[in-house]
This record gives sequence, C-alpha cells and structure tokens, in this order.
Amino acid sequence: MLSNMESSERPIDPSEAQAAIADAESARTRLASSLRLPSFFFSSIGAAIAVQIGTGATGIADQGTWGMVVLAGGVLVFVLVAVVQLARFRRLNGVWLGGLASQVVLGTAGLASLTYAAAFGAATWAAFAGAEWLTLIAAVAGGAIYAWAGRRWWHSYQGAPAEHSRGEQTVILVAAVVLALALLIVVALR
Amino acid sequence: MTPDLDPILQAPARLKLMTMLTAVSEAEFATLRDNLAVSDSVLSKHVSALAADEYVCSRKGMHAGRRTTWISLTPAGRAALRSHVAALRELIAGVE
Repeated sequence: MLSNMESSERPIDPSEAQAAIADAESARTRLASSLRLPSFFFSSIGAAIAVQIGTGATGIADQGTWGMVVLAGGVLVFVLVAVVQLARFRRLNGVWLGGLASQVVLGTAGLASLTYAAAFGAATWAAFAGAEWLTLIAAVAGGAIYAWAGRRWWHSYQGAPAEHSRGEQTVILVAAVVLALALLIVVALR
Repeated sequence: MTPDLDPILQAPARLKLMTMLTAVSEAEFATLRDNLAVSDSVLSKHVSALAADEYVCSRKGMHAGRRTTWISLTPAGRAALRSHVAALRELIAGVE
C-alpha cells in the first residue's frame, strides 16, 4: 500500500509547499552532482575531434581514393570514441543525458560548433596549401577548444541541470550528421 | 483564490521523482530508487501512477548486462510539473 502522503489531495499549506519545492530541487541537484564522467572523457573526445579534423582536411586535399579512406578513417575514430564514452557514462551513472551527447560529444553548443568549423576550414586550407604543420596545429587547437567547451558545458549543467539536460531532437541531430557527411563527400569528390 | 495544484503531483515522492527526471533525459529504475531512498515496490507504484496519466514513460532495456526499466518525462509530464510548481509558488507568494 502506498503511504498516505502519496495520494494526498487535502489542501496544502504554504510552508508545506515551500518544503516540497525545496526538497524536490535538492533531490535534483543531488542527482546531477552525483553523476560522474568516465575517465579521460573530455580529453578523448578532444583527441578524436583533432584526429577527425586532421584526417578530414588531409583526405579532402588529397582528392583521391586514399584521401577518402583517410577521411572515413577519421570519422570512424570519432564515432567509436563517442559511442564508447557515452556507453561508459550511461553504465557508470544509470542515466542518459541528451545534453551531454549533443552539446559536448556532437558539439552542437555554440562555441564547439564555431571552433570545429573554423579549425576544419583552417586545416583544409593548410592541407591544400601543402602546409601539413599548420593542418596539425589547426586540428590540435580545434580538438583542445572543443574539449574545453565540453568541460564548460559540464560545469553549467551541474549548476542548473534542468536547463541543460536536454539535447537537440534526434531528427535534428540525424539531419545535421547526414548533411555534414554529404558535404564532406561532395567536397572530397570535387 | 486557491492555486490549481495537480492532485497527482501532490505526493512529495512524485514531485521529487518528476523534478529529478528534469535533470536527465532518461534514468534507470535503480538510480531513481537509490536517489529517492524508497523500495522497489513504492517506486514501481509511483511510476505506474505517473505513467497511467502519461506523465512519464517507461521502457525495458539493459543496464550493466541485466534487464532493467528506463524512465523518462513525457512532454505532458513536463508541462504538468511546470504548472504544479507554478501553483505551489503562487501559494507561497500568497502569504509573503
């Protein structure tokens, strides 16, 4: 049988209302604070992004079959790292956090997406110009800032979990991934 | 005038459960049970009651190699929670 407070429909007084809100908000904060990230979470995502930018830029500049293989290899590395880290997070905490998947891993947060676009553009330009060292620098810088943006999101989430917990709708994420892949293929085939 | 409180959410445990679910997209049954410090059967009854009104949805899945239940807020549940909390705040504001 449920306890009497579970089905209570009696009038609630203001002090009870205040206590109920405080208690519920404190439970939410406790849950958010108890969540742990798997080891090397941000660094592995940053490194995978750096690899993806570097291989993507090199692959596009190569404009041959080998270039496509390199490009696909970089995407595969990123996808593998992302899937493994998100699965570890879910197993570790017993929750799924859409905001973490989209804002941090897929980089839909403003800073992460701007950084990615700028780093990818710079790396590709450098690869076409034959400046491999610059491609490397752009890729590493892109990955580092991407990881830092993820860390920043995590702090914001822990401060205000309800505002940051939700990710973009699946259909939007799928559309963005398909569009990005189509764009990469078009650029690589030109 | 009495604010429009949602009778389904007047139970403190349900309000806590729903509020906790706003911090995540989906939570495993055992995670919610441990955080709420209630028994399996109590949580199960709360979840069933909330699911009956389509405030939460639950699905069977796997966690750490065992079958488990994942629970998430529905858009209707999110709206109901928002309106219930607003009513509670209105009630508090009425005496301040």
